Amino acid sequence: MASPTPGIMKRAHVTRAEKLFCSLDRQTRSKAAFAQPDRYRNLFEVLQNQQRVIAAGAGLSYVGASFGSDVFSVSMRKFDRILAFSPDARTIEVEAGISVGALTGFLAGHRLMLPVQPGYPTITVGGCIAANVHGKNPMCDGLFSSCVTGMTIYHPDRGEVRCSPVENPEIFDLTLGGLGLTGVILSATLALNTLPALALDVVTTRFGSLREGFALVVSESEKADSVLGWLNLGSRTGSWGTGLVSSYNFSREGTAADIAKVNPDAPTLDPSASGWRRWPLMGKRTVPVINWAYARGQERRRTVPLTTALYPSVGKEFYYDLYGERGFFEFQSLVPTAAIDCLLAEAEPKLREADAAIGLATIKAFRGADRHIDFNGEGISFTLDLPASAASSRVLDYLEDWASSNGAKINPIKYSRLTGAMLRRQFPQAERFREQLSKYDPSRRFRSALSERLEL
Amino acid sequence: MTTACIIGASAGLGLALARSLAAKGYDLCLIARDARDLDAIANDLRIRHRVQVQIVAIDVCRADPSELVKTCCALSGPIDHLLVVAGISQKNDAPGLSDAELVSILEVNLVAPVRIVNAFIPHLLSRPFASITGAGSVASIRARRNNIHYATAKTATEFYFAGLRHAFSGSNCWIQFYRLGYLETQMTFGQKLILPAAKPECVAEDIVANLGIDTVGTYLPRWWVLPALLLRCLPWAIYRRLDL
Repeated sequence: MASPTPGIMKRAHVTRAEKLFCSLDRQTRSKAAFAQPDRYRNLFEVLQNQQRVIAAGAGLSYVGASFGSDVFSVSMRKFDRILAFSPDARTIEVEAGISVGALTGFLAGHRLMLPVQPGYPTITVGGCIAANVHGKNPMCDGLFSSCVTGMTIYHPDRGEVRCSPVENPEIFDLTLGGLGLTGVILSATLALNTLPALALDVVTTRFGSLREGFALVVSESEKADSVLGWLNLGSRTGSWGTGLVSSYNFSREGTAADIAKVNPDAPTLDPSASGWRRWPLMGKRTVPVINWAYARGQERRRTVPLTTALYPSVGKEFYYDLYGERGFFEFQSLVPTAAIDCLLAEAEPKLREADAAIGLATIKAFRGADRHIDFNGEGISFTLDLPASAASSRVLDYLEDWASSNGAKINPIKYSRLTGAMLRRQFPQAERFREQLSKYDPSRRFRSALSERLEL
Repeated sequence: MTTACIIGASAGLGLALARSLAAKGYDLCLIARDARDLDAIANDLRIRHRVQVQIVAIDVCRADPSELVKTCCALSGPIDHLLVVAGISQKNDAPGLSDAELVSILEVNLVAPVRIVNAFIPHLLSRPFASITGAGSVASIRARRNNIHYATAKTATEFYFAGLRHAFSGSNCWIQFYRLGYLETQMTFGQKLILPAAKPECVAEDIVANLGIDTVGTYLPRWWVLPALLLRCLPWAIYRRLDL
């Protein structure tokens, strides 16, 4: 029987353990050492003693960004404090382990919000920066980097470095979307938006073809606060290629009672958790039924709480288990506007004839510039979830080739089959990004399964 | 305004107590070794709960207790509640432990808490309503070879708190001492435990809710009373063979 010690003041080393890590898509698994320090001295001690290390946030990366073989994983979840807050200047400084859900819960009380948020509340601010995630309307809001005004980074060979667009700008730039390879992000200063209401009105519009859906998602993104297009690519009937575009706008009818619905309590999505068997239920026969039920269930107009709009995956965590132990691939590609016609002419027939079950297909409009390996540019993101199977591999082989040949980018933080060669071909600045990382840190202490696969 | 002083506030149960008390509007004086962590925690609690938070970064084993009382009162004003939850243990805590490690265990778990509580007593007795809270361990349930020195220190501290309860019975100062089960802290991180670890936040809520009662030897989480009973009832012939 071990002896628990409350408020323990450890004078020895921080506790370490071994864990079998698994990515959200279940394609990357590694048994690796990890620690969850709860004090700065313990955090620095762990980092100084490791030659291959990576910081971990919520552990929800699709692709193994926070662990790796022979890589020491350091959880930052205990570093979740608010360090400074200025409601008038609309800025907040937080430690990197704070979750976006907890932060939203706090900010909602001050009628403020993060302008860009990923779809699950336990994801940490550090994870958002490292992956430079997009939010609900990347066409208007940009990526997470658009709200980061400063950071403090720790690297064992460099110590603590404060960086911003004017102070160590090259480190700042390299760390935004740097996959955690420049060091551990200790804290970040974030610019906030005013929160207009605690609820959003949703208008759902049906469309009858991919071309119509693509046009609709672009036009709606110009005027709505948040937009998501859903495609029915699982049907075997005439409804293939139809879908819905949901446009969210902050409600004028949101009341003070809605604040109770801003619930930052973390649900429990943990791909590394074991103890139960995941049965593969996402197949060619079940997907049409699921899609039919989903399409039927969408009301034309409704009002949803803020958290429902921000974190649509909450309450649907079972979705990731529906692909079974073998998991799935999330193919998310950013198709340039100029290549949309080509996609519809060439890829659509292939997808229609494909033997694979496309579990989920979504579209979003993007507008932004090339930078490092950011998933950004001008066009439409086209996202497909497919079960890991031979039939899916054939579809994905085709889509990878199509993307590389037509100027499309595949999201490095979503797609487990992306290789270093594909990355360099699709992202013009990928090689320069790798060179900058090596120049910044010749010893390349910070590594992950993702960085190894992408040859960064 | 009511002020609570937490010894060992930078992580684990101490941090959870600080959060729970701040959420209920208590002003705080936080004491621990780690200045940087205390700074971050203090800022967080001030921003979230708009309470006064002072910090004293000091090694309680090296501190002069009477000076510590003066410092805390000078920073925070009168202290109404003292919560002493700092502690350490060693994985290799068994007969034959090095002298330095043994001294460290006894100092942090027994000597420092008793000295600090003793120094605070005159001040707390001068308050209209006060409490002293200490943290023990389920290691005190029954003596065994592992954690022998840690359990010795915690049991002795419990005995001291039981004496305080007797001494201050009927006074304005309430005494609480809890036997804490496994908590999700650095101590149990990554370990395969035979019973589930509780979240420090849940235990902290219970402790804060009990600030107005006298209790010594209460298990938290409360279900630990059953394993404790079983362990105590085990015949020696069986118990001596167990590797606990």
